[in-house]
Amino acid sequence: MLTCDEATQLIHSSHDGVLRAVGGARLREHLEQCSSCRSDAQTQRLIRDLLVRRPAEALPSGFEARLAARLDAERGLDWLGLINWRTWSIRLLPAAIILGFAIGIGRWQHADSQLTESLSRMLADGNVADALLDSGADGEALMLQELFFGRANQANRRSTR
Amino acid sequence: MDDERTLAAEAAAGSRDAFDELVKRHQARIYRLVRVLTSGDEDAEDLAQETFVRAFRGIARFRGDSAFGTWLHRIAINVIKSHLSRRRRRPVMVGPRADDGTEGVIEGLASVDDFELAVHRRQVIDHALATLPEDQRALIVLRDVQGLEYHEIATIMGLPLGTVESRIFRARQRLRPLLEHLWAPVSRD
Repeated sequence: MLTCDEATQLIHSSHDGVLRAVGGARLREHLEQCSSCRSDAQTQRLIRDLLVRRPAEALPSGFEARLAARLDAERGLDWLGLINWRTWSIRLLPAAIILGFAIGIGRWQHADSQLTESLSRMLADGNVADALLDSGADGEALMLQELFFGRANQANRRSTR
Repeated sequence: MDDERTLAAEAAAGSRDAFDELVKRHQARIYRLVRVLTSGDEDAEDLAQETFVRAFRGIARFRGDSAFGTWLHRIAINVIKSHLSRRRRRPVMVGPRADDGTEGVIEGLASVDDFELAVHRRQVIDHALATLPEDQRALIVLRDVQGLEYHEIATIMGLPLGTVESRIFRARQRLRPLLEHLWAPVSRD
């Protein structure tokens, strides 16, 4: 025979106190013996019956028309979205990022070639190399000459082509 | 409700007629849900409409994993929850409102006696439901007033099925002393 806890568990899962095949026979047997669980099962069915029959209220008059107007307004907002700066700014964000990136790369390349030209000019004049040689940094002077003369040569080759 | 999935798909593709048909089918249930869960709040109509407006905006996101009605109930529950939490923050006393029968006229009643009896029954039931803790009230209303299945309620509320079962069980036990006196008229029906 089921305990009251087990019976209560079965009443929970019986959904609304309607006995089912699984466990139904054992629960029925328990309910015949136990007035407390019988009362619980009865409460489930009766309260459900009451609530199912709760008198329904009618919709307020004009509900449908007012809702239709709100939905029309929503559809209108879709079009208004086209002139909404927030919508535009969000939609254009990826394009703006790509454009910004492209401009950044162009400017960087331009600055790089300018830097190379001016440094190679300085090194050709011997100002920087002389300064480094004067300060005793012979190695650094040679590296700079090699690096920037090399880059200047590459830049010159590109511009002649 | 496969035809509702079809209607929802048509509505998602831009058919206003399809969405209007879905509104027609569900408006009374959604309005009733809002009325019961807000204890007849004067904003009930606005909240019911807000539910449909949100569904309209989000219809493209309805994938058809659940019934359209279940999806709509989930939206309605979210609208109601937000409203109730806003209402709690307002410094006014709002309890179960007296239903004088002038609002939400009851459908299908022939005589004044029937009408008065029905208004009284609805008042008693709504007042009793209003005494339940919120977590139990929504569940029992979805089951017994709205007629949803337990698994649908579990989906809407994001709760395990066992929790839904035990909370509905406890809610009915709590309602018994408040509604016992209505049992006789029910058995006559």
